[in-house]
Amino acid sequence: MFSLYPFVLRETLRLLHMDNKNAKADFLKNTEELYKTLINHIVPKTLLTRVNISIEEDCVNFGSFTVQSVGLSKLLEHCESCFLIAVTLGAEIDKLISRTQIEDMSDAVVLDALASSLADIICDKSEARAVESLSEKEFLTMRFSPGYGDVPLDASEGILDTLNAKKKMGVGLTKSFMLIPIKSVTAFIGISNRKEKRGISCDVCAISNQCLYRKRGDFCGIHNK
Amino acid sequence: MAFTISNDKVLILDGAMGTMLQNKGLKAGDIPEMLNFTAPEIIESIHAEYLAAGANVVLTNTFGANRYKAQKMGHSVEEIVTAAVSIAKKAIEGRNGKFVALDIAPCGKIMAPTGDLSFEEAVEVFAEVVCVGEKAGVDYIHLETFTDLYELKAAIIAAKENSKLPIIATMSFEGNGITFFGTSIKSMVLTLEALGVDALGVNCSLGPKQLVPIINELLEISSLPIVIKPNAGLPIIENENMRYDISPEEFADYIKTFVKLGVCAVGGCCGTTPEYIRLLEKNLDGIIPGQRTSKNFTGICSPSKQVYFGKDVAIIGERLNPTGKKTLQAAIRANDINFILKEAIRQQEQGALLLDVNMGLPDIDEPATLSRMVSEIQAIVDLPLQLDSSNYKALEKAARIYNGKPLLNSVNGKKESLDAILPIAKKYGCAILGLTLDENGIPETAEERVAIAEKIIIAAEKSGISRKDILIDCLVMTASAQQSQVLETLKAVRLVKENLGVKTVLGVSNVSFGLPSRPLLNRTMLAMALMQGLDAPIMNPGDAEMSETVAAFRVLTAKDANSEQYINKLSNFAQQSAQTNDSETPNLTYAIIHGLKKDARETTETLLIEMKPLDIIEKIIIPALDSVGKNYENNIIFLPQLIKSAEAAKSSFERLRIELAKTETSGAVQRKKIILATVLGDIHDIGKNIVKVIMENYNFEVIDLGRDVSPETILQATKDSGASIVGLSALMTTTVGPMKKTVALLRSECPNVKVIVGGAVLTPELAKFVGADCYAKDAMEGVRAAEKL
Repeated sequence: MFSLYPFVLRETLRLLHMDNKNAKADFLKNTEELYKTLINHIVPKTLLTRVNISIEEDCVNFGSFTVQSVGLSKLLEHCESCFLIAVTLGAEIDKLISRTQIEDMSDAVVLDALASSLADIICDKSEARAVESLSEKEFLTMRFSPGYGDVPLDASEGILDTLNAKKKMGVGLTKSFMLIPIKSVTAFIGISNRKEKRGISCDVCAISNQCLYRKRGDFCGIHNK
Repeated sequence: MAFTISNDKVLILDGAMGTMLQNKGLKAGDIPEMLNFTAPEIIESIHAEYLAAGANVVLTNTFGANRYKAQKMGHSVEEIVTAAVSIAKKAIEGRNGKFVALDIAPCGKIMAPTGDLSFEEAVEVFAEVVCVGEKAGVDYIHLETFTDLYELKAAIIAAKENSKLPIIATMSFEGNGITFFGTSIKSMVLTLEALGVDALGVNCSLGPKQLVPIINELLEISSLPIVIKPNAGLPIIENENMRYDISPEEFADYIKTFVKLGVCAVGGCCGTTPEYIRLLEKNLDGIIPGQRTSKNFTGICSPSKQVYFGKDVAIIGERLNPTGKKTLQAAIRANDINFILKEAIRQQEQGALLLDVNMGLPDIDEPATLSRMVSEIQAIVDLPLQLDSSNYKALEKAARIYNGKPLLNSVNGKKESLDAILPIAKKYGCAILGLTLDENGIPETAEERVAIAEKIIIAAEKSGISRKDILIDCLVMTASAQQSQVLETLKAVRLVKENLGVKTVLGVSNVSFGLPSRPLLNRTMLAMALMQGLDAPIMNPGDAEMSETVAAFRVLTAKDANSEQYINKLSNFAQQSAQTNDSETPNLTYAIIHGLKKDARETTETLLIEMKPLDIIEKIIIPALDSVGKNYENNIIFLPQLIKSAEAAKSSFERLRIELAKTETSGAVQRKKIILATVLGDIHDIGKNIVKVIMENYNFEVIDLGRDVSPETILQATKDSGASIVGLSALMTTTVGPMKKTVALLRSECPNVKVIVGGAVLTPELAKFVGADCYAKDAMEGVRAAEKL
């Protein structure tokens, strides 16, 4: 896990609206220590499966569930199948972040950002492995999670049920469809018949109006650069 | 014939239902319980195949049959369970010695505080299934595949409250011997044995090969019959198809080994088929389970940590008891959870192995407060707890919602106490602490105290509580008032251990009340008591002299191998004192701007010699915080530094507030009250907590209601506190609705209160939509807005 640190650090600094220039040496040293603590408190797990899909009137049918979404229908328009992915860092890290908030809020904020970044990077790694299973005429779309654009949060339920994620990795949902453990990700990755833009336009993003990255002239991790 | 399970007889359970259904075309994501209606003949034929293969028990097709799944299926829980039981009963019809087990698995939601399923709702969900299952005529209740000890406890309570049927409970562990939710094997065994299940064990997750160490541990620490249902090995992908890597022959060989070691009930989970059960049954022909012994550990636990008394000195942290502690009393009254959590964390770091939790104040709702604090502490600190109250209702409520096996403090020799406490301990699976006093008070002689201890033990055993789950406190008297009693107490400790064979606890520091140099008496008493066989002193683990005495005792009694921990502890101590001596005294402005918490407090102390508290605030802290705020707004410093500075300022404020309270000028720094809450449905609260830290250092009095807070609770707190501002946070789109509802409720009932909203999902437009007065993009903006309102 430590080999991922450079990637995690870059993403963490971005989440904290910092970069290598304005991060001081003692901050970076402390962040590295926190990362070591983080990786001692995680049990990362990934589940990935490929399902056939069909789309009708902005409603994507994944076999055992459907998702009504303009954004997702557009993303998957050239796809006949799709990967469903779920990643988690496990339940212990949530507890550690809560405890750290009592002990040292500043460390807790950094730890929280490190954990979010790591979960995202584990998704990237799994995606890279998924690419290897594709034929020459298959291409991945970008990764799209429930909560992005107009994809409802309850779409996570279909992904988790199909992957049997509660039983296999201990990931579930609250009544308002938030993932537990908190440091978990669910997503769709389309398998397209053509090369797709691996990014998303700010136009379909729910928070584009007040996005802090945009305000700084920057983009978030999923923006179509 | 009624179903029974015992250590000396092999019981063969069925194999996988899900695997069989998938082989018959069930797709991922389809609901297996639907087949109870659409294709009952398939379910019946699977049961029949397992019975023909030699299984004595079939589990009903009700793995996920609960109200949440029922909603999606368009059938009621009653319909699903009744259908499944009648199919299984039809399958065993005409076969002798076959049984139907009501299969119950986790309900799919995640328990609070990790998730949002309350303990009582979980009990209700499982109770529905149990009631229908019992009515439909199952032979016993089979709880399986649980990964959260807390959810399993809810299921067991539901089963016990609604049925008299036997209960088998099994959990699923990862290869490291821990479940997804952090339950360890030892904690499972301690908790389930105390709750009184008929058998326990493991199923799913792993194959028999990976289960070897887990099963060995179970056999070693549990006295109950052990039940196993392993997977058919680990899944492997072959030509895009998944299969498991252990053949029926290998599986049967592993099972035979386990039975010879003492496992008595065996079957299969994912990947197993009737062929596995057929070979397993054939292989076990004429074999009886290996001899088991009854274990005698006195232990309590949280889901992940255990304390076994007697093996080593177990320090019980006493700091969470408000008697004589004004700041803790104030914190309990103000519902200042952070203060209590900090105290709990500190005691753990100082070496406490379990924590006493007492919330006894005359003018509060003690049952509600104790159980709330127990949940809050368990969410953050993994130590086992000793639930402490003289209020039976408070003890019962806390014992019910406790996650693991707690120690109940206390029961005594009075009939009233025995009648009230023993049933609570039995029902909720607790160890008990018995005090050697009765209707006639505390007896003077050691022998009389031992007699009361014996009376407690006999009564407890009669109530079904095992002797190993009883600890005795022989009660320390003060040397100033009852000098001769000290030796009687010590003698009683020795006699209770020798004659009654139970473990002992003492509140050591009572001895020194009313005499000078209390630490000297305390540590001497502690050493004397340890020598008499005291297992667990209740003490302040932060008392350096007492904890050093424990460290020294552990060296001299060879409990601390190679004196390692002793050397470590004392060298750390020396280092810490050296550091304090070396430290310079940088100025307060510097300490705040650079976020140096310890320095801020120390320089405040120095400054107080020559400056007035209010001057320090106005001339130093406020300008320093202003400069920090501006640096943050101008992207010169970032969130982590902003928080560090705020926390440094807070430590200075805390010191100054003590000073201000003394001089009664606190009116001069009257703080604006603000309520903070993460709205109903949202469990992400780090953002709200950041706002809290920053706000507290801009002189707001923050009332933190936590996360997932209902509109009604927010309204009530606003009315009760008289706060003029309410800050609401939400991270996800689904919680904008509850936010709007909260604002509307506040508007109608408290029209003068101003509302600030924030959180990742919020925008100025959404803030308008929910009816807030103001939107803040981050903590600093929140402070600025609150200052203006």
